[in-house]
Amino acid sequence: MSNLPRRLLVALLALVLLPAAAAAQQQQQQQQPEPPRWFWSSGLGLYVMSINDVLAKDLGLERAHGGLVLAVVRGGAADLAGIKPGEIVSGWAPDQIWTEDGKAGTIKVLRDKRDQTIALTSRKVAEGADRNLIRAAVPARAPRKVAVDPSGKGDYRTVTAAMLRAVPGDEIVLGPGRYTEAAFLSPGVALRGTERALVRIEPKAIWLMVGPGEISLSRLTFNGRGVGFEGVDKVTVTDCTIAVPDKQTAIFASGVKSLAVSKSTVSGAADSIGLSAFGSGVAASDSVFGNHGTAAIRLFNGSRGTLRSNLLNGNWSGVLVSDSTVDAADNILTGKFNPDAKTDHNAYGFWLSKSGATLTRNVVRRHEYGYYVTAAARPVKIVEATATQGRWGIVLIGSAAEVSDSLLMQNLRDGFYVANPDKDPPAGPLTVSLTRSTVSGNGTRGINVQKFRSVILRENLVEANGTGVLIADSTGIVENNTIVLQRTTGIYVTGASDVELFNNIVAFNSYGLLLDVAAKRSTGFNDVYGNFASKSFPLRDGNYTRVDRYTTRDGEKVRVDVYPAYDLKADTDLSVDPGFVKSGTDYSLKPDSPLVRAAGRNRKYLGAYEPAP
Amino acid sequence: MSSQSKLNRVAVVALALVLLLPLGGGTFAQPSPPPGQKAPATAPAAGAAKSDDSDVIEIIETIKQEQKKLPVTKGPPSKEKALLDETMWRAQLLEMTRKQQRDAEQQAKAAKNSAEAQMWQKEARLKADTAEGLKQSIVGTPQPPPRPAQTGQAAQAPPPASRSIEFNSGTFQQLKEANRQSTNDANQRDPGQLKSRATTEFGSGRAGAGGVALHKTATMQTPLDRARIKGAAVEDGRLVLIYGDQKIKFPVLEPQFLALAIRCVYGGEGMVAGTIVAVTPTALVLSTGKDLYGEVVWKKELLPSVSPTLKAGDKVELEFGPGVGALSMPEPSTNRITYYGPLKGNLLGKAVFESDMVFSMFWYGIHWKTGRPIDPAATPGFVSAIDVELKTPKPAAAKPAAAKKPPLAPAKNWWEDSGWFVWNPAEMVLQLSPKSGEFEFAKATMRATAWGWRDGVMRDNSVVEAKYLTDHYDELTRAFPALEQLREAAKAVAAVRWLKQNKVPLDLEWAKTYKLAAVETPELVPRFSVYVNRDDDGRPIVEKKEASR
Repeated sequence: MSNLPRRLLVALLALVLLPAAAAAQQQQQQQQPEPPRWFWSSGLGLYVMSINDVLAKDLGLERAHGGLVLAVVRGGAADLAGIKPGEIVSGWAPDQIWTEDGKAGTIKVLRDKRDQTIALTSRKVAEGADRNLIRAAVPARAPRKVAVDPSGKGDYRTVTAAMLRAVPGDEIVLGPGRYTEAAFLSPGVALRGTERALVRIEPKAIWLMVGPGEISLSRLTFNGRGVGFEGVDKVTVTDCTIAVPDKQTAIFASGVKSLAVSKSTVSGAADSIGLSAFGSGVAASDSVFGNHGTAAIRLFNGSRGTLRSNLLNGNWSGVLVSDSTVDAADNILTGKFNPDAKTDHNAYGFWLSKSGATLTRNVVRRHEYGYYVTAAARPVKIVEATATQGRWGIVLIGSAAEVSDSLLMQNLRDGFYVANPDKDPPAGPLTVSLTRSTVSGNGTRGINVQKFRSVILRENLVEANGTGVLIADSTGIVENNTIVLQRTTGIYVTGASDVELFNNIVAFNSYGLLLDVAAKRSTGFNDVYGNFASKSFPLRDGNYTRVDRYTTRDGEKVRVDVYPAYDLKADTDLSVDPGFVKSGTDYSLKPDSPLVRAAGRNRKYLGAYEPAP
Repeated sequence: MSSQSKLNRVAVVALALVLLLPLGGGTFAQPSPPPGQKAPATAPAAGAAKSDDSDVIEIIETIKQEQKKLPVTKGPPSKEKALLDETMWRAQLLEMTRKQQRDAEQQAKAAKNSAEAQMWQKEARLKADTAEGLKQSIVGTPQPPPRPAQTGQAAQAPPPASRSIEFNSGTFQQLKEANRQSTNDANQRDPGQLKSRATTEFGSGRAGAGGVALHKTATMQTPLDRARIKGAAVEDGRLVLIYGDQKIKFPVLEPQFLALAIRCVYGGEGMVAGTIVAVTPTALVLSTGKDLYGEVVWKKELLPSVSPTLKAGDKVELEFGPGVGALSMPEPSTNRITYYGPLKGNLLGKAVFESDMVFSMFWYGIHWKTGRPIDPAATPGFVSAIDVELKTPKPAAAKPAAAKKPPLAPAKNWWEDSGWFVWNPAEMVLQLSPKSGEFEFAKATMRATAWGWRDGVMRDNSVVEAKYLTDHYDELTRAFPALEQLREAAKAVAAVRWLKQNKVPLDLEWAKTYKLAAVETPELVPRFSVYVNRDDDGRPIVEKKEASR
């Protein structure tokens, strides 16, 4: 668990273990007994559960008093002072918040029906050691089904009591009703609701499990707080509903070897997160993550995620991945991108930093950035992706990537953007490829490559964008693409670029090829046709445009763009009507197209669509 | 895209989901009824407009039909297919959610107690919200009806034109709109349609924005006795005035120019016939037919003479020649050079044509023939407008708003938005040299005139540029010898016009029989378009020099 929740919990711990008078006054004010909840003290190395009348009754206590020691950290201050799990502690003054090393104090432990004062000295638990817990010993017995029912019809009224007495293999079945306790989960048990819609867990703190072991949750509805797992071996969450408010995390995992969430609904509010994993293995499938103000799923610090067939709806960001790996397939991510809203910024469908990824058949809709990948040294694979109705489709910053068979459509700015970061560019050249993809109707540029080495654009349909392909001061190959109907330019190559342009059909744009004469380029076998820089009289031939420099008498250079520039037409270039089946919707070639028999470089066909045999 | 597998997989999700979120952005938690107040068991679920699935069935059937129409192609994924697959998934999820809604409603009816009934009703409401959100994700958010105009108020303004990208449309709407837009784009950019439209708009021909007019008649600075002027002739290639018993030679003039000047001025070969289609006190438009010169716009002061009573509809002959212009053709980026007078294929034609081309070379710094930048260092005397603009001090801060020119009214005719640069003689003054006893040009200057049909059409710096060209004509002749030839031609024409103005008889025989050298004069030339990078003040942007490596 991160430091922030720890600090918060310690502070809450102090509040709960107030002197009895203060607690009684508080209870009077609230009219309702405070539901049980767990607390953690890093200075003492123990987990404590507050006790109310219901839990006291479940545990067979005479009265609600102090806190129940759930577990102590092996070698921690509490452990060294001889405090045992299952004991009742009290007398914890608010000014004795033991979070530091070496702070001396006392704590009362109920032994033989009398409070015994124990002196101890705080000893801050080291990171990682906090999961080495000693739990209350439970007499050995065969696993069984344990019924919990708030109305008293089951074995227990509280989950805490059931947990405390559980042995590995127990199935704890929650009956219909409202559960308000913040449970501390024990390993080896399975919690199941009788009917998910009727089992409503509404605690004021998360349900937490710490330390090795397995646990399974199914058919439960959490409302208000979620669940957390630290250092757990295996977690299964099935057929659950988890709804959290502002700034909360629905499912938290740290150091969990395997967390599987399936067939569940995880909803949130402003600044909430659906699933947040640090150094954990996560599998989410067939689930809905919705309305999270921060992100639906976050995989950080060496996590490994497998996401299958989830619906991520109405989240600020979809999946955030840092220093981790993710394999996501068949997910639909729908955000709330609104170009008119001033608050839209940094909202991602997929955001990956220094991470490996294979993303297959995911639909990202209405996220400001559909896919944003940064600092991926090994190629990120994005296959059959859809990115639409955002500001940017796929953005690759200083990353290697292989993108194919994707649809990047109707984004406000660019469909596909590749660049190196302004600061700390990658040491060696990286390669990005975009193949067999449709890039259509993006506001500014279909494909925008900025100062990058190297990019391969092959067999793509680039249709009706602002500019089709911009190769800006970059190295690349643009081959066998069908580039049509751009509002401005089909392919634009700037001066400091080094490109190969072959076998492309560049037709019906305002400008076909806009080439800076300073660029290093080899071109040929392109069909450049019907590019008109004006759509009314007088027509302007925009097939080839030269970006040149006029040198003044004083030696100053002024950029001039000149068209038509027939000298840019390669000897092997064609200028014929490609004969599309239906321009606007089907850019495969008619059987009688003059290009059907045309052979391009390497005797390959022209454009993105292989002619029918 | 292997969308079928995708569909199957996500359909599993749909079946598996027990509770879904409101997809339309609604809140998850519905408020429970106050304690003690029982919600009606059959309370209508929020947003549940449909009690059956007819709408879903219709959507699914429509998708199936659309999917059948999809072409099978080998190449990049079709956007139609991808969007239809996604829509189908959403529709199936909608269908499933409706079923779950109905199940929850049934459970509420069969609940053992009111508390359980409330839980199920809440579940049903969530399902209904979810279903509505799903439906909107397919067909879009319903638009509120327009507000009726209130008394005394104007009717509600129509909504702004929709942008090309809709961000909150349903997938179905998006697909329809995307197809509509791309089909529309394809139609608008169809070369056949564009060329047809251009031919229509070409109409009677629009004369291009530039040219040469050699309209000037020389003035004679030396008083002559008109009674003694008997005639004129060309002897040994020199134009002479028969003055009493004297023969006074005119300055040496290029015989080819002289012959053509005589043919134009005396022989009427400089006349262009047509119909006046527009006239103002300072300019006129003469329609000559698209196969001739098109609609020629001319400044009256650039004609040797013009009737003050001209009016639209008059059929007239005007003396445009010798001169040159250009006609933008329906073919893209193509100009047809229109030679006024018998100038095709001869030296005068070449001189006037190349002089006209100097304008474009000056403005953009590129060669008219190649489109490549001209190197001033390799072209003595050449300066472009870019050089001039960069040498001109930056303009003062923007003028107060009050001083700004009002925008021009929309043009009704093409020429009202056009401007022209015309080379023409400024002063042509002859005098009798007491030393040689021959006529000589006391002054022979050329100028560039920038003008537009309406005030405000020409940019301010066009006037500045025209003045620059006028002031530096002599320098420019070093870079463009055609300009020197043009001046020589202007002298010849001015001298002949003087004769004509003074009704001096001149035999045409020499001019008609003079063998002109064959010179190539282009008929069709590329019309280059040049875009110069400019800053906010309109000045050309100088590229930063590369840092030394």
